Amino acid sequence: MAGLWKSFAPETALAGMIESELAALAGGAEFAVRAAGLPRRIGRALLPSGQMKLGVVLLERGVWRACDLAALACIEVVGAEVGMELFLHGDRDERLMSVRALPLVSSQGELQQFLRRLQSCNDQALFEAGFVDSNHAARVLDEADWNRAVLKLAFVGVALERITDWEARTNPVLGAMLADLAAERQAAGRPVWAGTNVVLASLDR
Amino acid sequence: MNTIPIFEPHAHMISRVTDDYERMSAAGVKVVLEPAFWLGQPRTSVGSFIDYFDTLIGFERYRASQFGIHHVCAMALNPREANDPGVRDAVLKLLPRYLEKGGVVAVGELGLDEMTSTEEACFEVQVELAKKHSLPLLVHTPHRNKRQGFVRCFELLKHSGFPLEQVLLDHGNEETIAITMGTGVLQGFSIYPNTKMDPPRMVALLKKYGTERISINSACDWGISDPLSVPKTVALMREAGFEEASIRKLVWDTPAEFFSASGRVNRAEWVCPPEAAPFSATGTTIARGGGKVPGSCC
Ligand SMILES: [Zn+2]
Repeated sequence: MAGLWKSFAPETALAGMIESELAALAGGAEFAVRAAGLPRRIGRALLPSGQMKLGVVLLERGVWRACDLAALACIEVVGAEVGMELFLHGDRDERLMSVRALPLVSSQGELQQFLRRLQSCNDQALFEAGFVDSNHAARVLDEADWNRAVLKLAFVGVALERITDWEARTNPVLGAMLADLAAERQAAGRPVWAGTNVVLASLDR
Repeated sequence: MNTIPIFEPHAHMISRVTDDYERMSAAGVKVVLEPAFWLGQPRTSVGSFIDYFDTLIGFERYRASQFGIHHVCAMALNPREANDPGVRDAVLKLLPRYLEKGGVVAVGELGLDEMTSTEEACFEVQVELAKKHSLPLLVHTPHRNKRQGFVRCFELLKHSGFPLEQVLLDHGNEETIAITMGTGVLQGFSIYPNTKMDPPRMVALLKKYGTERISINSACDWGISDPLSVPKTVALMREAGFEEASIRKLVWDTPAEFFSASGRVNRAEWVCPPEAAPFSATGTTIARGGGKVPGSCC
């Protein structure tokens, strides 16, 4: 569905800037070269907060930056494969743009692969951006991948409330993994992830 | 105690361990510029260049940020590998994409090494790229046959019509400064522990010529080199009685001005620690364990 970016209801000024980016692409500009300049030209201002539903996708608009939305508009034109280049060969800004935009233009299989790749990302901000504040992980990951993702979120200390649909995807294997992590932390005298008991209690119900 | 912020304008941090970042941070280094160069031995495919460039703009910047240091880059095909027809053209083709990246603040290291005609051709192509992407140049001069290579680099630059004020001509010595003094070029000096230019020789040179249009760096890499050679030179300058203002001009004002002139980066942000931390639910950045909001120190 082209024009998905308009569902974010950008303000007139932002929409105008995005239209000029699209015009540049239509005029033959190479997205791989232009993409790096999107944060400079479009800016990093956050969009107004609010839950959005786009088909099966649930997301929080307020974590999106203006340049992320511009990247989505461009990737809708150039395709997910070219968009993936942004993640593979981009700087932090470009990679964040790709993490926001790609899940909206990828097939379920592509998104699974993408999240698997993101799981090993060292930059916690990028890892988080893919796994929280949307239902991307909950809707496409199989149980093993989901469990690995939640374990890493717990490991780095992301609040449980930001993991969309965690309750629906919780399972006894994950419960055991989180209990192990808690035991390891306790033994080391380190703080235990605050979500641990909430998840374990939900499994008892 | 060193209260002057330090801009290290030439460090190959990919070759250094985290202890180096820690020591540099403790010594007052706020920004490092990592120019793309070779990896100690030739690369055999363009893919190795892509991964190297991606590491410079990606993980290396992230690694530096964990020590409160801003990491920026210069991107180029280095003169050594410019001589390799197996990778040369493909790497030049890659550059426009990397020269648009946010943290890329110069084209470099381009330059001459063995002074071949191919090196000169790649030099000229990359000067044109710098014009197109509105970036300054960081130019490597040969370590052997220094004087002749230095003169040749300078001739190529003058012939190109590139504004000399936007050129850092690096790895200078007591001989080359006579060629460039008063030309507008930013004269770079790489300070090594015991070969080439060392801190006492550098201080002697600064006493003679002053600190105007001069910049010093460690050029630290895989070889015998010292990532602290700039702060060590600062300490020697203090002992020698240099004014704080002229030390600051040398190690902060001049390089910060030079590499921010393109407008690609906001120089004011360089004195605050960089963002290494996650984006919170509201999109603002918080340090792990609850740090301060970016910009709050400014
Ligand atoms: Zn170098």
